[in-house]
Amino acid sequence: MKSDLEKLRAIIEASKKLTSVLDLDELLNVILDVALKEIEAERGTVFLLDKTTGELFSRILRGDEIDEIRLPVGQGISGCVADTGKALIIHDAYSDPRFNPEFDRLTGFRTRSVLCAPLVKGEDEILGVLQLLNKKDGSFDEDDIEYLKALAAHIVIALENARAHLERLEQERTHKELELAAQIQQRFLPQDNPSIPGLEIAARAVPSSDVGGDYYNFLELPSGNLGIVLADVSGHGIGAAMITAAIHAYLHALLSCYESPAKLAGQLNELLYQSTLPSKYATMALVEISRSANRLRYCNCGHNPLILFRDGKASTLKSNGTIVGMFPKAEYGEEEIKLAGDERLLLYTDGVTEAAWGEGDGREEFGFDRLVALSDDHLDPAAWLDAIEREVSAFTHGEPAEDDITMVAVRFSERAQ
Amino acid sequence: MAILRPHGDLFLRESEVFEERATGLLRANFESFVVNLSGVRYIGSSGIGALINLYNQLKRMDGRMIATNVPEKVVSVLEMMGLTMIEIMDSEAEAFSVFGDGGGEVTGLV
Repeated sequence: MKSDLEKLRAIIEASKKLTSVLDLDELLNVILDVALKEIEAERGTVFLLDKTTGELFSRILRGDEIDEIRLPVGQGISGCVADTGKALIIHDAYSDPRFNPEFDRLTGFRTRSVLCAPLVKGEDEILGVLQLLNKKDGSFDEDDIEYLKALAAHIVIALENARAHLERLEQERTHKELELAAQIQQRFLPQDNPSIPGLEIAARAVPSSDVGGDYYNFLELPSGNLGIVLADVSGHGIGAAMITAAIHAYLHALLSCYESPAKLAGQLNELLYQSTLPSKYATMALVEISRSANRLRYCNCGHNPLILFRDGKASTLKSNGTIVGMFPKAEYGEEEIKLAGDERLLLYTDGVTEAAWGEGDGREEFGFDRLVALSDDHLDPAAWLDAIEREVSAFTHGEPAEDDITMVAVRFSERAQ
Repeated sequence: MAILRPHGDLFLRESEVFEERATGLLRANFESFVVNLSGVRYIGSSGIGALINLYNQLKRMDGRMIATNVPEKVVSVLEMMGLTMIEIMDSEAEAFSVFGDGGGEVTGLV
């Protein structure tokens, strides 16, 4: 029998050991090592409570291995202790109806006596159960229960630390995944805006905190005309970023056989449909600008209407086909617009118009009308986009954007010679 | 006939729940779906994806999906995205009469 001082020393030593481990599996081993040594039992198991299923589970058993044991709270000796929150001593396991001899049969071990105690956080929150088998010298007694209670307080702290550590690791992993998604996206965006006489072009891509799947690019079409593509892939994170990468690759592969925006949309739709998950798609706008012929052709595939400003008036270029990647075959139309030479065009993703402030019924979106009102003939495209970005940010009180904000602005000026 | 009644915002997580329920019902060989959208406040891109995925799967097996009680905001999103193939009706009752079913097997989604 240990003296009180010895017990206190042992508890302090055990506490040091327990709190030095953050990995949950390793901690479960340490808990068992400490408990077996201090209570002088032959074997034992640490069960943790799975609150979602109402089951106790164990990932370790000393000696012969059993991968994972799961048992419902209320069933068996450990289940009973998890249910009542009260420690139990059983001197003859085989005469107790709650004892399940199956594990003995599987492992070849012979259980004689059992000490089972709850691991309780605070007043009554059960985190798990510690079960020890066969006292090496004599039988389990009330002293063992008291000692285990003192030890359990330290075990609970160590378990909470390990869980918090696990959560932190998961958060870090998610964060890293989002960073990777953002890098993938950025890599496929153009570094510079094209320099074409008679056109002033600016673009802006503001990634959200929860990386979305916006994409834009400028395409040099075989005719020498300029192509502009703006797409918004459904969903968020690395999955969406990968689809933007696929769109980027397909578009460039299809350029050599380019005929028109509608044809390109149809081809891209088929390729995306074949290579993406069934519920993934993108809304997309394709614009072809011929400065020499002074015309613009566009195909809007289920995307927010583009806005064309002319003589101080805004007109919308609405969808003439459905989203891409969702249907095996889809028909896409296109429209041609003759340019006078002083128009301005704005392409944007819904991160702009759906930037919101407020909750529930008080929730308000930035919306289309505010966007149109920000148009100013005197602003060059870069200043125009600056103004929109500033206003959206002011509207959401500087909160980080929930969705990517991507815009391309074009101002037609003096015709090319 | 199966009925889905999603509630609240149909964003990422809620869309996954919707897809799981729909997949379960498809596995149970339901071919007629009524999707009552009256409880949907906002629909995100993944919500649209889940809805169209159900439509596509039903189309492949000669099934049918009818959306009912669709809020105006959702109607305009569907229109903007060129998703005019989605059948929309005013009420569940109207959809029931199309399917020739007085109510049939009902499953809610909250």
